[in-house]
Parts: sequence; C-alpha cells; structure tokens
Amino acid sequence: METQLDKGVLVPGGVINLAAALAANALPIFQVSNFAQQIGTKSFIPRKLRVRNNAGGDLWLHLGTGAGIGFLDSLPPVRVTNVMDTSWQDVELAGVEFFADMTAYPAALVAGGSVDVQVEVEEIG
Amino acid sequence: MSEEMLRAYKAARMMEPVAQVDYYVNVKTYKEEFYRKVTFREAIPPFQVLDIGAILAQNVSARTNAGNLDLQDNEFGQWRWFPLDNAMVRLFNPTGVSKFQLKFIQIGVEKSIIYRDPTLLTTEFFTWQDERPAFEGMNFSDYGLNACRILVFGYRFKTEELDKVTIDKLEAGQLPVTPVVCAGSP
Repeated sequence: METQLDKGVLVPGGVINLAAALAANALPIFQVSNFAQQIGTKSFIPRKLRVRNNAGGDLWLHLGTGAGIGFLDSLPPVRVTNVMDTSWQDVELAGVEFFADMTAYPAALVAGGSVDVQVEVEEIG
Repeated sequence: MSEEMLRAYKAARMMEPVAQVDYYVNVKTYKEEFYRKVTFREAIPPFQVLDIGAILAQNVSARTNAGNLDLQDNEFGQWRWFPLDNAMVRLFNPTGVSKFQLKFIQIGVEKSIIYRDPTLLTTEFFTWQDERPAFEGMNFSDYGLNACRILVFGYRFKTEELDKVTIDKLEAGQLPVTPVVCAGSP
C-alpha cells in the first residue's frame, strides 16, 4: 500500500520583483507559515521555480534565507540569462527543507532592470 | 452494525477502533486496572501533537511530555503516530515507562515507518485521561535538525463506570471484554 503520509500541500508563492542587487536587498519569495493559532510547526520544500529576467543582464540569482550579512545560500545560485525566462522543476531542485522565509537576490543588475521570481513549494507539517 | 463498520475500516486498510460503543473495556494503566463501558467514540484527525524542537547532529533531545494529547476524565485514546522529521523517536507512556521495549533495547520509530508500515499499526498505543506520553528524539545524522515534529491520529473514547454486578461478571469471564493497556507495559 503506497503511503501519502509524508506528502505536503503544493502552495504557490507570489510573483516577486527583485529590482535591487546584492544580499542587502534580498526579499522573501515565500514566507513560512507561523500563525500563532496554528497547531504545529510548518516547513516547506521548493518544488518549482520560475524566473523572468527583465533586461537585468546575465546574472546569478541567489536563493536562501535571511538578508544582508545574514543571508545564507540554501541552493546553488542559478544562472538567469538576460531578457529570457527560465524554470526549474522538482527533480532539478534539491529537496532542501526551509523552516524560515525563503529569500532571493540577484548578484548584479543592469541599471533599470529587474527579475521576477515565483516559487511553488510543498508545505509540510 | 459494528461488524459492518469494522469491515469498512479493514477493507480500506485504515485504522480500526479497538472498541465500539457499548463494548466493555478493561483499562490497565501503569498503576491501576478497572472495567468500563464505552459510551462514545470520536475519530481524531492527524495533527502535530508535539515539536520537540531543534536537535544537534548526533544528539538526543530531552524527554518531552506531549500535553496536547491529554484527554478529559473517563476517556481513553487509541493513537498511531510517526515523526515528520528525520529522527528516531522513542515513546514513553507515561514518561517513566518505555514503550516498544525488548529485553535489551527500546525500539525507536523513524520516519521510514510510513513506508515499512503504511498503516502505522506497529506504532499504536493507548492513553488514559491526562496520563500523557513523552517522546525523545534522536538525531542520528551528521546534520542538525530544525525541528522534530510528531504527527498523531486515532480515536477518543468516552467511558462510564460499571456497577459491581457487571464487574463481577466481567472478572468471571461471563461477559466479553477488550483489554486496553494504557501504558508502556502492563
């Protein structure tokens, strides 16, 4: 009998526009659920990642937790080509489990450019 | 009627309640034993009963009581469970009485139980009123765990006391009775 006991719920994040480079400007692309009235601790595993480069130049997109000096990469940075969109799914993403907000930032950006990021996660707990 | 209901549970390979309404039960805790009759049964959906918290690599957590499993007076619970995180968890029922205890080792339940025993039958345990169980998480890996969450589901049973005549009949074996051991060991 196949078990589904460890399956989580697929939840999409919003489309987050990253318009400033460097870790100091890292923004949350998915926030962990921590409502005071919920029962138990929630975590999530990113399952799909879609990125659109709005003339930001070829860049590395960092994915992790925290911001500024406290930013920690949770996945290897992904290469995003100028004015193109890219997506990563399931088997292409390591099953890293997040217990804090997932944040992201572009390592560099051409002036006036930005990156749109959306992640779909499996929420567990 | 009760056999029909049980057949549905068995066919779906789900969790079968240990007793139906109007069944007699012999509740045994670690310190006492008594006879009751079941008056009500309610299924409890899966919920996170306890998060032991972060556990360092190759470390054992403190033994932590699961107060969220407390029941009202005259109630007993039938539970199955598994750890949501990659830890080996030992159960104590209550905190000083180990569950799944063999002569030399106490068996801990890992997350892999959901593949090895999909119905979680082998994790089943019972509790009486607010004699809460305790869990102890072992992080056997080389990396720290952010959480050690325990998921539980099962049934809650309300019971009523019995008159002496009925108890005498139960003790004499004249009426059917279901033993319910609400402790690590009888």
